[in-house]
Amino acid sequence: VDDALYTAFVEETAPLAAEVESRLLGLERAAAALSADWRALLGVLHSIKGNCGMVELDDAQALAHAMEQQVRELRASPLDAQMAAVAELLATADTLRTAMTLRSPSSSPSPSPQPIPSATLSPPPTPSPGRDLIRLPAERIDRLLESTEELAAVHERTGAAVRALGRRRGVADPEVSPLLELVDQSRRRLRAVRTAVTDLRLLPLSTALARFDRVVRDLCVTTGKRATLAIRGGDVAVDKSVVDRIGEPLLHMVRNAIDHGIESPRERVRAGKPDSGRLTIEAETQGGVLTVIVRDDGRGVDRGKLAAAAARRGLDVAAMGDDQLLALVFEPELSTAERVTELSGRGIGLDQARRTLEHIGGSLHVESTRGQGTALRLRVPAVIAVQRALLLACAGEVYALPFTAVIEAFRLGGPRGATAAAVPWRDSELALCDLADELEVPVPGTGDGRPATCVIVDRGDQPLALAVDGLAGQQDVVIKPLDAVFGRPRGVSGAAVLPEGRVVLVVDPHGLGRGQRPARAS
Amino acid sequence: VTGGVVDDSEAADADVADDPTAGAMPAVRLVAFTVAGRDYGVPVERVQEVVRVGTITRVPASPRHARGVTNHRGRIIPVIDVATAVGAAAAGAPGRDARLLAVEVGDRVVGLLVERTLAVVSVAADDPSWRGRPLHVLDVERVVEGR
Repeated sequence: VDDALYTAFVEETAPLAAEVESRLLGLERAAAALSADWRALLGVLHSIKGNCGMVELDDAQALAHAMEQQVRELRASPLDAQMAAVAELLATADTLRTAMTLRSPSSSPSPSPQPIPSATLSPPPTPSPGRDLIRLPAERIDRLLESTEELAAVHERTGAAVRALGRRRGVADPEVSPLLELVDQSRRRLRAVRTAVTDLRLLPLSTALARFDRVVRDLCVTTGKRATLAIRGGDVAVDKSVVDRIGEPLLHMVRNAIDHGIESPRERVRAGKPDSGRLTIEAETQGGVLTVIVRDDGRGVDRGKLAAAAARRGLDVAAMGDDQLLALVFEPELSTAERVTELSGRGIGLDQARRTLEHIGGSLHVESTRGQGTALRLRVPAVIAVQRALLLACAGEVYALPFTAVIEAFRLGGPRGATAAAVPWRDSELALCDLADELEVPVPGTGDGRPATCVIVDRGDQPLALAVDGLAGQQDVVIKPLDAVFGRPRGVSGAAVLPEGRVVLVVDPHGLGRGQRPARAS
Repeated sequence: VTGGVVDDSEAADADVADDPTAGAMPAVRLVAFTVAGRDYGVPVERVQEVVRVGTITRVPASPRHARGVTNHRGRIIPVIDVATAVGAAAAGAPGRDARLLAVEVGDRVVGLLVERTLAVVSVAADDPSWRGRPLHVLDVERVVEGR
């Protein structure tokens, strides 16, 4: 089977296999099946069977055929037999998916090309009538985005040159003023292009959430628990790189909710709750930030146990606020689960989820009420490729701090009573961390009069008071990773090119001020 | 390789010169440059471009030979100080003649910071020399790794 045919097969058939699964899950949830449901399922299975035959996947074809037969016979069975068979069919569907990837070695040209009956060709998926769709590799969009950024840099330089000319000759100069007008026009067009290119990478979040129906079902089977999942806001549009990267953290969050949040049906009934737990995934975007909350109505975090575990590890529990104490659920060594199941060794999964999120400029928070449930709140920039950043001046350099991490900024020595050592913050004081010290960069000159500005930075748990020389504006930046030769310097997540061509480092707030964080002091 | 070796801002001061002694022996074409009193060369097909040194942004906690990062045609590339990498004393700020060789290393592009470029030369592969001086062929991978 040649590559092109196989690629076409995968593109066409993978969504069909996913449809089989979602239809089966739907049947199971409804605990009833109308003959129309079975008929739809039969249609999909039949298409899969035909497609597998085209690419000579004999095992997969046989499986699809067997499933088709089973469904045909089931239609006449009593309801409980139907429901029992659904679980079996789900397992077979997994095997089928695997079988579909077991491609026989390329044997083109085929010795005896067999005509493919056109009846077995399923029509390509048509999302909505009258729409033309193109499939293309994501790298091609990325290349377009990169070129757009380069063009933007050239535009900035052109603009600066024309404005300089305008200052010398006066903006009303007959040769200068049309140039200024052209620069202005190109700026507007460029912004439109940038937006259009960025939008190309947007996908509905539901592409990352679709599998959780199945995940929740399987987890419930393994743990003997009962839970229903409701998803809200799956249609929010986020950057493809976000969709790709938050799947794994979300999986950890959902696992954690079922494994450690939702109680067993017996326990729930004893607590006066319905025997089936409620799990919700809510997503929304606001101001360029995607928030996804995984909420369960389970037992909640036991702060007493958490504090005891922390105390055993030598942490100063008394000095911790409630937020800090709760944030300990992310510490891998502090598992309060009495037994580590195959699902999630509590902290390990969440710790990993948090690390992944922090790496892409996001954060993970936990809120919990004993006996009522837990909410894990994930926040990431909705568009990772382009991020709005606050520019910080420090020790003769400029640094970019993603806006998602900025809580507020103010001048030191002002009416708030902040000094060069500490800043009042809510009902306590935050010690000031000098960015120059954190990054170990030398301060040129005598350093008099610095630092003059404080930025309160969100690190996911405890805020950090970051001292810098001053602010240098805001800018949309494309964050690029640093070359391998630099290793992974603490407090730096990458670099970005400013419009005038200068390269600035991007500050990673999670790598700063770690010396003074009690939870990490052990 | 895009466009061969082109000086960014002024007429190429790296003139192309063939070594007449190379004769019929197997020859290699190198971009020749000077670092800490010695002459070096990098195969011309690995050099994307020779450019003047722009602003270098320092990166904290980086190895000594990694000077920082710079903007090369919209791309952020590391600047490797060849002098430090070959064991000479760390050079100060880049001088007037200093150039950056944008060199391909696998799928990366790195900037090699050199004191001055000399020429694109065609020399004998087994015993490269130019104008009577030995030309050391730079092991780019080692230099980048700082070994």
